[in-house]
Amino acid sequence: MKKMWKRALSTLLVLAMTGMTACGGSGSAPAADPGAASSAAPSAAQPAAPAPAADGAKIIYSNGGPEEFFETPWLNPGTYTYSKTIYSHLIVADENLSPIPDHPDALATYSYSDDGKTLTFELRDDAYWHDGEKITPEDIKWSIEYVSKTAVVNPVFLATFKAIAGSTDANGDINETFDGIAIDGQKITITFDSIAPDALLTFTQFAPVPKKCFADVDPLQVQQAPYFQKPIGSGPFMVEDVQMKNYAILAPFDKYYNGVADFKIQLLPSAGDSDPNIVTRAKSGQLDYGYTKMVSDVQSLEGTPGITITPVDVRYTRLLYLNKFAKTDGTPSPLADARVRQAIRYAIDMKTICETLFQGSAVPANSLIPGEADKASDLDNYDYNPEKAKELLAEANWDPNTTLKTVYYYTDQATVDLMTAIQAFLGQVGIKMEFELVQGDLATLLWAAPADQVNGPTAVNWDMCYAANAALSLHEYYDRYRTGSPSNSHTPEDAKLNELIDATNASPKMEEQIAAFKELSKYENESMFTMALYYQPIFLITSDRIGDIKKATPQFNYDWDIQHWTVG
Amino acid sequence: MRNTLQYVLKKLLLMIPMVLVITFLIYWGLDLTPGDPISYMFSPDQLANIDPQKLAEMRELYGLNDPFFIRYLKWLWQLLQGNFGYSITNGVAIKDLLAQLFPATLELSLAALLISTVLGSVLGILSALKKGSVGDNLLTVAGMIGVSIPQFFFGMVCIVVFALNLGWLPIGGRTAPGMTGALAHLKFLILPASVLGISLTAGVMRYARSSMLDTMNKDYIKTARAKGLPEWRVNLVHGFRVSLTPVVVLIGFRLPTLIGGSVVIETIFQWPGIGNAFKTAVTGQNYPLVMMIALFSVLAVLMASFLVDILTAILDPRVKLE
Amino acid sequence: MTAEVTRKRTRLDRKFDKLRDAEEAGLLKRSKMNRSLRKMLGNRLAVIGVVVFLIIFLACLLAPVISSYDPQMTDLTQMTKPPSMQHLFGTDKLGRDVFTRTLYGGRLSMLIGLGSALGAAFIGVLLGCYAGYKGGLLDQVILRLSEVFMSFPQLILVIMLGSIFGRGLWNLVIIFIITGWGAVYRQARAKMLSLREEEYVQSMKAFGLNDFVIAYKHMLPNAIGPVVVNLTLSTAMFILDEAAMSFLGLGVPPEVATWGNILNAAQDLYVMQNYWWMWLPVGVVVSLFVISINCIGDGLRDSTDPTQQG
Repeated sequence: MKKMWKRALSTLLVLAMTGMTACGGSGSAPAADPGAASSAAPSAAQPAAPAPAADGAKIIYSNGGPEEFFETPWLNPGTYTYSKTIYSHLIVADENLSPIPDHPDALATYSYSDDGKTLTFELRDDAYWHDGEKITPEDIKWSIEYVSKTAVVNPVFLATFKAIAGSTDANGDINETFDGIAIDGQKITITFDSIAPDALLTFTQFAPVPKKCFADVDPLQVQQAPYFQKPIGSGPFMVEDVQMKNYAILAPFDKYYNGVADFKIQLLPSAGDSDPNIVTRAKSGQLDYGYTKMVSDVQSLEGTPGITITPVDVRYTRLLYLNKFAKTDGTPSPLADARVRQAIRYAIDMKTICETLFQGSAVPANSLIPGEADKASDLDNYDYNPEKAKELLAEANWDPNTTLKTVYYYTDQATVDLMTAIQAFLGQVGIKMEFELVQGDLATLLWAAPADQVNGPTAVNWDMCYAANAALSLHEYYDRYRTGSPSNSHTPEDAKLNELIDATNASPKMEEQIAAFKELSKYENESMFTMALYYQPIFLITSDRIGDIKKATPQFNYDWDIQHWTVG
Repeated sequence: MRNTLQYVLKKLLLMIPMVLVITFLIYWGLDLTPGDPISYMFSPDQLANIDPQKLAEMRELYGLNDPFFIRYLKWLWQLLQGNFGYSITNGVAIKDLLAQLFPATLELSLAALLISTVLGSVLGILSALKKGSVGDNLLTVAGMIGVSIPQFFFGMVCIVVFALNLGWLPIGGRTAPGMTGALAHLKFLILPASVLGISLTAGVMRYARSSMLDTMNKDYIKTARAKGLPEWRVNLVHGFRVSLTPVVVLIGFRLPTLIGGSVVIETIFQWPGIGNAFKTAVTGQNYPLVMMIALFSVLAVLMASFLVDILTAILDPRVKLE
Repeated sequence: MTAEVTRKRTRLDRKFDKLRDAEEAGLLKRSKMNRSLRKMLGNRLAVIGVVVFLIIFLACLLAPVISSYDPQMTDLTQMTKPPSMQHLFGTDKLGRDVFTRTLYGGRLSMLIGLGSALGAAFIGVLLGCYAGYKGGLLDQVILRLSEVFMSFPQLILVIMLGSIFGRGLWNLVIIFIITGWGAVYRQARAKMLSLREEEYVQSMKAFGLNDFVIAYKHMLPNAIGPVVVNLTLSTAMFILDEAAMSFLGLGVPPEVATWGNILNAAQDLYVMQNYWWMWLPVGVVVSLFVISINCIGDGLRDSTDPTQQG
């Protein structure tokens, strides 16, 4: 009898043990959704997604789907496929990101005064949010004001918005509303009180959102807004179904003003712009549009039937930031002498590194600016020259006992390989270098500017920092080297440099800006105040199913006309 | 019986201070870790463009500037009121997140557990019955290989072979839109569950084998044999049943790890479960989510060890509950 | 002298004949070898395990003698070369000799595996022995403590300590010890609990021997068996853990060659399919090494377990 009892109890306990684990789920499950607690019917618990095949719609696959939330469209305006498809923009850009007047995909027509002081939009009358409500000029005005107050705003946007009259108070803080934005019927007039060199560019990328969805959301907590669990935009596609970490379905928006697509888009989740599963996805037919920066992905995918890989030149430069501020103990930075900086560049055989390590996919850099048309034509390429490097070091009285500390924040193998290669090259000319992955509060560890940006001492603990610059506008490359920039952790005041940077921001006219950038690149090339290493194209991966589309940078918005793609 | 009850109660009560200590340590550790959730919200390159003042305001807003002890107490107080908090990255209630994550992990874990238990105990007992034979040695070696190959390596090879080259199974993920029926779902489960299951099989097999060998040496088995019972009956009815006890215990110990999810497997197969979310949360310093997942996995470990204690006491009369 | 009995010679007869022959030949003298060792040698798998273990172990130990390459030396002109006489396992993407890296990587991986296992065993035994013998409050406190550390999610610990102290080999060892000692403690303690009721312990106690002497000198040798077995198995486990941590990007910094880090090259599908020599030999060596340790552990367990005859 006793034995029986024991057996029964033990059975119960085993059951309890299994049950307990399930309780973990049920205890935390919301009351409204009891089905989700049961592990036996997980698929049944999910809302039945409409079967794409069932209603006859064609479907294409892309990656970059949300894992936890949809990224805001203002920091990286086009990095994610969903940002490019669910939002529309006031101006539409071509593949070089130059504005196209009166493009049918634009939310508005615009006119821009010659002096760059006034930008007028005439908002379309037939533009709707995905919930069916009309887009109002007030939405646009409010979006500009609101986004300026968030932290998730692209520096190019912010620079433009801050140039709007009445945008900031005496302390430089953002005002609640901007006097410089006036509404008259469907007409929105923006008045600038200082030069906004990238005003048009900004509005080709800036995505307005419906005001009503952000009633109680603090701008600094905007990422947490329920809106970004299922955003409502005004672009050609709308979010139909989201299963975070599983998939998201974008369906054509039938009230879109410039054509309705005949296919849906399924997004597979991946974090940021590097999808570790891109190769397997493309090979198994689950990727019709995607992009990668990884050469290894390209190598793996070459020769895959039905997949086309197109390299696209983008403004993406990998570089070494050079910390020229004196050390905290008062000793001058080992990199303070320009000859040392030049020697380092001569000592690194970027050409060989690009050909071998990067399999020819990267291009050695001679300036932060990748595009030939935007920089001086007579730049020194710093071709590999260890003898010259040694000479320069000797001239600069280089102390061979100095060890340069290089930091980086990429966790991929290619970065470690590159660091190892650079270490080896520097070792050959007698420069010791150690490298280290930094983690933690990177804003402080990497970019904390010294209290005194003129003389230092430095507020960070590195000599060189391997990083990337992905720039929407050329200004993004250089503004951070200007004395007074809040993230200038590396460059002590240099009057000539400041002057050259200011010159690039002095005019709204492209030609004048380019001329200034040419001067700046020349100075950069000579003084090596920062060390551009290589340019990296982005590789666009497309499948045969989406046919011949207009290919340009996949990280920004341009007239790719997705709603008219013919899907096979 | 009174004693057992008292013992159970005492054990349960003891868990409370333990949970407090562990959660406190985790919170403290997170606090000591350099960086905070804000610094992980933006990519390092973008951080250079964000006004430090805005970052400071965000910290204040998210309550990250309080001393960590205050924050811990706040967290505890919220928890006692049944509020699990909200994820810092997306503001979603953590109970909703867990309700999404737990079923996925549980499903994978139970499937792997099933595979490893069935495969492990059957093979283990077979090899015990044929102890010393070629088959026994082969099985032992196979089990060794199963447990000795790094999981991620095994998983990647499986993806290449079964998903890419043969195209039989999907490369990863858990559901696809419009997916109906258990069968379609099963396709997603097979690879991750098998890889996880196989790596767990060897342990079960080893246990089952030695416990079966143990049992076969027991007097009552010898008696049964001496009575002239048919060999299969001796093996199956008398040997098998008893020797499963330690296997059950082993499973009990495994369960909590399975609840926590296998980070490696979930990462490779893009399985949207706890393990994966936990890793993201810890690396991104998403305090509230880390704390809740940690709390559950700690509770699971404590409960499992408690239940195993009691189970063994009931199954083995020589062990006394004290 | 003896009457001829005619009957069929059975297998038993033959067996006894063999035994008699052996005895006459003097082979059945009491072996000087330890009984456990003898049993172990009888276990073919374990013997193979020891041999494989020793080969890999010695090769790694003697890495500077065996290979003339520097494991960190890059040579961009010798990138991704398949195995040849110069490079037994070929070269990797930076032109480093994979064979050399495997050997040097083995040193570190073994250090991590063995170091963690030894450290965990040392702490676990030290505490378990005494606490198990003494019992009482001390035992309860340590028991709870071990539960705390065992239920502490390892991942958190790895990431936390990694970012507080920086990622490194010794941090990994410390983390493995922190999460590993509890199991050893419980094992040692359980054994001590049953041993302390033994008569020899009781009598020593009655003689008034020092607690430490009883616990560490007289009881420990009788309790150490399962711990040693566990030591081998956990060494294998920690080596695999190191690989898994590397995979998650939480292990030893990627520029340091460990087995886990070298194997990580296989994460890249292109490498996996085209440069098999970068990962396959390492994968085989790691697996072989872990298998051999597991075989030894199994053999040890079988041979030290008195309940298992044969």
